[in-house]
Amino acid sequence: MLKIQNLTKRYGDKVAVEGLSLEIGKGEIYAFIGHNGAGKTTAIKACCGILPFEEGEILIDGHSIQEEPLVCKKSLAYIPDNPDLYEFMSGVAYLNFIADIFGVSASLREEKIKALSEKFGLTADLAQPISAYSHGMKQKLAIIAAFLHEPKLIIMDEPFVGLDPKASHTMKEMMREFTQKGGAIFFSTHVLEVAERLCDRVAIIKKGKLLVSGTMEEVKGNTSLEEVFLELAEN
Amino acid sequence: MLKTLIKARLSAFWAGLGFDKKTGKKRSVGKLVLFGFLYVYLIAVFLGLFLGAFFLLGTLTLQTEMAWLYFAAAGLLAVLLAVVGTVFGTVTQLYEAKDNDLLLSMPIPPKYILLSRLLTLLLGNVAFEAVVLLPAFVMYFVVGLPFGAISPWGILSLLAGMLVLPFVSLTFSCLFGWLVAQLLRRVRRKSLVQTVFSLALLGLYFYFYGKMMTGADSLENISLILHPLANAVKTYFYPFYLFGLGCAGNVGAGLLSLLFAAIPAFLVFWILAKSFINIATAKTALKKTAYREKTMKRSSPRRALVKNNLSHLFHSSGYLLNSAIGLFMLLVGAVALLVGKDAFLSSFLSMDGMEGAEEITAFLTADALAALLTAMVCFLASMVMITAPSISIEAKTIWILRSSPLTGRDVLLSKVYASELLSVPVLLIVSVAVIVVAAPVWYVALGVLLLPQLFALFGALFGMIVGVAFPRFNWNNETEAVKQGMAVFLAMFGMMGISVAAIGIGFILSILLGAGAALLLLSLLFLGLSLLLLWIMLSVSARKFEKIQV
Repeated sequence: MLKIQNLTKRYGDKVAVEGLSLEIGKGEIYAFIGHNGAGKTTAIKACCGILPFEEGEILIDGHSIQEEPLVCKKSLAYIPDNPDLYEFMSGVAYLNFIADIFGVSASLREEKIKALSEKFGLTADLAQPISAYSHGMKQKLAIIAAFLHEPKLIIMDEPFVGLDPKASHTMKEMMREFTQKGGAIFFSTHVLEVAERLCDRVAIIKKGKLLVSGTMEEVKGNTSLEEVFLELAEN
Repeated sequence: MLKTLIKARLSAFWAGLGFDKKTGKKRSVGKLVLFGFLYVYLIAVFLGLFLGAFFLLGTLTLQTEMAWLYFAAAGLLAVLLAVVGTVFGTVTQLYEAKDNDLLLSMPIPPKYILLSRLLTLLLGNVAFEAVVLLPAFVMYFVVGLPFGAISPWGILSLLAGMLVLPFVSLTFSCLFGWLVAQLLRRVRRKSLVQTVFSLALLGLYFYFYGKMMTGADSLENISLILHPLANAVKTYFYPFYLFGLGCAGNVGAGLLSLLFAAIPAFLVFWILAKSFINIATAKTALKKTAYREKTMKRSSPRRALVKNNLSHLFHSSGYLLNSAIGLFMLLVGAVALLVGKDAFLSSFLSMDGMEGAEEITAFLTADALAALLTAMVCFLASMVMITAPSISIEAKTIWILRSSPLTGRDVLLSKVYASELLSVPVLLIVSVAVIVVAAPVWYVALGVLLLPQLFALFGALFGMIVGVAFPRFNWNNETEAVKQGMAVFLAMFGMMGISVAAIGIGFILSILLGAGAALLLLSLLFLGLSLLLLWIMLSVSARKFEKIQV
């Protein structure tokens, strides 16, 4: 579903990501781990077509994000690390806007908005302006918007930040359901316990370079993911 | 500690001017020179406006027993301009400051926080008032010297006024700011309140400015016009009357006016000092709008984008007021033109007794009048800059557009459409008003209808291109994105320059070929230029938008 081949991204002289290669298959939840400033967000933004890159290739469902950005973007959803949404809109207006952009039919969006906002306990606040939302509420709205247009791939940057325990639990359930239906999820996180329990595969990145990747068992072996990460980060 | 707080506030201001907030690097010399030049130009325009006004007012009053009116007018205009210019700054820096919580959590006495904010606001008031008081001071010498109307007391009083008046305007700013902050905390449509309030203040300012300067263009009717104005100042703005009397030599009145300034200022600042913590941390819970499920409708992506752009504009008073002020002025102008049609025509077409009146009346045929008014419409239309800041204001939310299945063309076209959706009907109304008032022949009327529309389209495309070329994403407050930055400056001064050049070309063409041909040829020119800009926008700018990195 997502294939990153030898991705290199530079900001001037600084190399943010160097020669990164990963492959995420259908039905997989893939965790992307690294310390602050390791290049996770850069790589994620490049996968979503937000950041152009100098070298390498990113394929989404077989299509190049550089050559066919619209085809790729139609099948993916992105949730950023900070849910900066249109503060001048109400929650429901934002969801309608996203549904319009992705061509979601009226009936499907009604059904989806109702179901998803109820799951996250956001229904009562949908008429409120987003400017009145807390960080967690914005995060929930960004998640609902991501699932609204039924993407094949969801790319998320720290999706659990700001979520209350119930919403966090709901999110994990939704991620599992989504991948069971054939979708793929690629997300970055600092919550290693969540990654360990939720993900099928994991990649650890340091200073823009991939240190290790593979199935959770391959990467952590008999130890915990936290121990592996700390050991790799220190060395 | 107070010094540190003041330094922090001032450095934040200077950082915005001389440093790039994102990189922390100094702006290039070229950029600084360009910004400096543009600021100087803007200040020079205002100074020129007030120099002219005070020259005329001084000529009319300084050598008469109404010399006090000169000083009272200067004081009143200075205070009004400063209040209009700083009231929203007072709201954001004093009552709704984002760092109130952070600073209050530190071991800093609240009075220091308040004082540092008041001092920086005071500097803003001084700057605004200088724009009025400096010309008043200069013209006091220029006009007063030949008549021997200068007195040391007058000079001293004006200087004292320069020191005291900023405190008066700051007092009013704090009071109005508090009212606005209370109102904003209780309403949902904050931007609507801000827009209405700003327009009301601006209207009030221009009303007083107009009233005060009405006498200046009619030397023969001094007593008829100035006396009611003087009475109005005495009745409604008594402290300013005292201030005027004081500057004109009445020591007692001058001291009394100081009391009028000092007592409210002391009271307001004392109340602020006593209740700053409550003010800074006050939150008013708004009643939640209940969500009711409605049947949803599907729109095309392009329609959704246009709707989104318009929604952003109408929910942001800063964006609306700074970018669409030309549309407000055009609407007001159209109504004034229709309502005051007869008075307008008589003032333009009958200039008996004026030097060169015959030549002017002969030149001002219905067609020429229509062309002249169209030139004014185009000039006002150059102040419509909805597209220029439209990329900068996306900033943190640009990921939504960039991660969606949209091309750069879709996004840019939607922003131009949104701008056109607003300007087309407004310009149509103004053009119809011009046609009704001037009653030109049909082909001139066609030019009156076409030229403003094509000029506005050109302006929207020009704004969009510079908006993509020079986006500014490192802002803290949306108003910064709308007011500052290279794109806005280029769009504003570029379009003003182009409108002046077009008016010049039109003037020459109308002398050579007639008003109708001039309007139609200019329409053709702007049609061609708009097509060229459209091509640039859809190719170069669209590609650049798709590669913008935030």
